[in-house]
Amino acid sequence: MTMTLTDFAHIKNDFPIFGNLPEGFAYCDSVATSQTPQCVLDAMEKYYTTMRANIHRASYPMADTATSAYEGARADIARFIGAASPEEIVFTAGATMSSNMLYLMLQEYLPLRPGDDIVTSVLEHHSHLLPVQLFAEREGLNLLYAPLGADHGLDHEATSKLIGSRTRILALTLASNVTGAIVDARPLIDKVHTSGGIAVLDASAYVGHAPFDVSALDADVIFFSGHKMLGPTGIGVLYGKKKLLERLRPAFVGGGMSEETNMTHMRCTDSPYRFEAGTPPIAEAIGLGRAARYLDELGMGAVRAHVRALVMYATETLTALSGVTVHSMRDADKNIGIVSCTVDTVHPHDVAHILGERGVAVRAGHHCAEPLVKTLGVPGTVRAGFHVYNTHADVDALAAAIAVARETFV
Amino acid sequence: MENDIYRDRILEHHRFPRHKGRLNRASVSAEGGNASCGDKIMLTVKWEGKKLANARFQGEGCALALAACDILLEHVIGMSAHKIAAFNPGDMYDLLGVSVNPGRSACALLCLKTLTRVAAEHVASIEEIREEHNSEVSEEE
Repeated sequence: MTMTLTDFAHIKNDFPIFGNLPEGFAYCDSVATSQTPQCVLDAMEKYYTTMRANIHRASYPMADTATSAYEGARADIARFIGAASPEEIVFTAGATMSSNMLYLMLQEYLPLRPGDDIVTSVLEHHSHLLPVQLFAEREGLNLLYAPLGADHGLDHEATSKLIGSRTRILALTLASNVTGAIVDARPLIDKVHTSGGIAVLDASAYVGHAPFDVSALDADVIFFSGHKMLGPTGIGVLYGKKKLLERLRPAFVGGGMSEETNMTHMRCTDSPYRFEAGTPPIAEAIGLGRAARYLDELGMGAVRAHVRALVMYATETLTALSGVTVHSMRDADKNIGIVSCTVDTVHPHDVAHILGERGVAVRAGHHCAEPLVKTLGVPGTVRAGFHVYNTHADVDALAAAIAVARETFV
Repeated sequence: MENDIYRDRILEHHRFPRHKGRLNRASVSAEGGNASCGDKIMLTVKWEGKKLANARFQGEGCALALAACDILLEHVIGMSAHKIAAFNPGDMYDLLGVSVNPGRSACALLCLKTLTRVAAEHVASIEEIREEHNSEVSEEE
């Protein structure tokens, strides 16, 4: 079922939190974490109240039900992102865990030589950038940074030039969590493949905001968190092409991931199960699968159109305010759903505090993308991020509160 | 309490700080920062014996963090290192005279954290000198 745009006016009813917040509260902090629809809460409660058992390891019917629900969630996520099969989906604790374990595994897998290149970008979130930095340091790799373009997006041409015969990894975000800029990754992925390298994409700010097809993108690995796409906290995804996952040795070992274990060694079970040592976040995986189905029910094309319209309206509205400088991607077609700004010389934390007191939730600071914010030349930004439940009235409240913040200081 | 932390006193200290700058002949300079906010300050401190003779701050940060620097330095100049080292967050909130929510506590306490560290180091160095002196005296005996 695809909803029309007008249906989004009532979508807050799907999210119980809005019934517990003051009327008109504008939650514009979905880039940090999104809200949870009732259907996701119901799916998790159903696990706890009707099928609570560990997965894969018991023969009683309730455990089979739990295992089916967990594996069903894996299939939901595979379908949602266009993976070739559920076996390409590894459940993790979140994007940060996905990224850290990935680079530990790549360290062993890739034929690296000191002096090889890893190409990343100044747009990266710390959850990707810091594991990449450590990886480069441990392996003696050159860490090359793709620069920012004039429009607060990636300079694609300069990035392409950095990719060469020594590039072993292209480590790139699909969308900036500060400027909202969408990265046109496919040509860059093709280029790194031509050079014999692999492409690792951080899809945390992208997935759940726009239609996504990982097979069409041809990335070797992508990762993202569940809590930014209307799912619960504590769950994330590491997608890897089947052939790649089959060759990786797990970074973490423990229960449920070995086929045979004896006194001195063990033999790993198949991918993706060998990457999920220990009891996984079962309820959270089930919740995330439901979130993906919920978004599909809305229609990802409709979700994208809704968020895009909000970006366009917010960019226009904030640009018109005196003293406000917009630091995000102005072209709504190239913006995933984020508007960042500064207000005269008022520190972003002061602005965000005053907004918070007026019922507008935004985030201020470097947003765990410090190199990017330093490149923008500001101490931080005030960031509004939109999702399905946001409305034009939220943008109006944001603008009105920013005007009050400015009056307080100027 | 709308705009509670942005009472006139905080805004006044933010707009017209009395202790902003850098001491040329400082005994110590110390940096402090909040990793999550990106706030950064530099304190320059002049000790005369145990007493804080003068202090200045420089830095980047929100109005609360910078006003808190100014208000704290105004209060502690002239005090002993021992007394300053014993300052705690409750004392800082009392000085600010406003309620600070947990999300802003790192801003409000940045200067306190940095200054108490400097004061504790000064206390330790005074005690070290005293111990050396005592041991020299006992060796002479």
